[in-house]
Amino acid sequence: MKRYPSIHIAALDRRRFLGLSAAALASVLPAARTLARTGTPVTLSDREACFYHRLNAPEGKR
Amino acid sequence: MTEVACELCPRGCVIPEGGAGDCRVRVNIDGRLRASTYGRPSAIHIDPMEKKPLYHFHPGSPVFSIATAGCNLHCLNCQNWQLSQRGGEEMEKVYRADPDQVVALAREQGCESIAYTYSDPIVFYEYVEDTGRLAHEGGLNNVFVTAGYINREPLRRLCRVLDASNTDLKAFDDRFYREVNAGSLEPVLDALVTFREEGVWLEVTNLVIPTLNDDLVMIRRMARWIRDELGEGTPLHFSRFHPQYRMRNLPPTSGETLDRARQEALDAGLQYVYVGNVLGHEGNNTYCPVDGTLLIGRIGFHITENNLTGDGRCPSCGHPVPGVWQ
Repeated sequence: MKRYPSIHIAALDRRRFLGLSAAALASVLPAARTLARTGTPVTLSDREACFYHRLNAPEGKR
Repeated sequence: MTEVACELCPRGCVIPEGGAGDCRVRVNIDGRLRASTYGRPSAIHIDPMEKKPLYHFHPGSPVFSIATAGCNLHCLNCQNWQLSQRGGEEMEKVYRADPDQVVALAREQGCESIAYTYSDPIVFYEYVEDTGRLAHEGGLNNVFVTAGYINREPLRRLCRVLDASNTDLKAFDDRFYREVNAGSLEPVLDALVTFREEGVWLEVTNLVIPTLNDDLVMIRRMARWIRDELGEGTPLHFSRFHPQYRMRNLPPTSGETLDRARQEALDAGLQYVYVGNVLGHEGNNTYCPVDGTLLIGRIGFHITENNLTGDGRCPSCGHPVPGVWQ
């Protein structure tokens, strides 16, 4: 399996993108200002969990 | 640091904590993979069905069309690269539209269908499934416009909520996929067959790019494969290329090239072969493959006449035209 670098992580901390309200982010993260303009609270919920994935660990260590 | 392997598409990205997959939108948060654009579309429009393009599925009807950022392919000629080649956090516009809101908006706007389109909806898979389920409950159709670069198991599951797809077959050449799209051919062929097996109405689009995939021998092989594996009644759209994004060095596809491609596919036995992105071309229209009667006349995305009978037959000879007409 090919490993892909996290090419955009430097642009924005996704944990914050997904975990905090847009208003709280707006003061520190440029991209989030857009979200603040839309008045969109950004929160993380279970429905965003992806269906098809697995932990990348050897058998027995998951 | 917990790595997560995404199993949605053939890339099989292994994503470190805090990182994103190649699509830019499926992210590893605390060892759990999240679809970061769920409920956060960046494009919402109402289009005619012909724009997808779907010519044999509820012709002339308006489609509520949504897309989020991201894509699992990286086509050098992408026409929606501002949307597809970005992550959600990089977009200038991010709306908030939960699945129930999408369905309500679509109904409010008088749309019969919802299209998941513009970027590749594979990357917002869970959003499509949840919205699609609610759409069905509300009596709406779901249209999936995709490049088909997805693993078979997730696609089979998604087909339960899909009614129609226009799937790109970008070339019948694995090398082309690797060099132009950063993908590969085989998974796309698998996806096309899966759509057919699962009973999703399917139309195929091939964007003809001068010098790169306009070889008539390849087009003939592609048409024969479609005839044999998907059926002679499968509509095939040859689309005109316009210089875009990172492929501005090539000219638009000539009308002659599109004519030759269309003729090649007709000669191979496909019954409904169209030419797109060329206004007023006779290949915009649907003709009866038996007696040549004009069945549906189109100029661009607009229908000028529809002569099909109510149950989708040629009015002259009664030949049944495959599609979903009502």
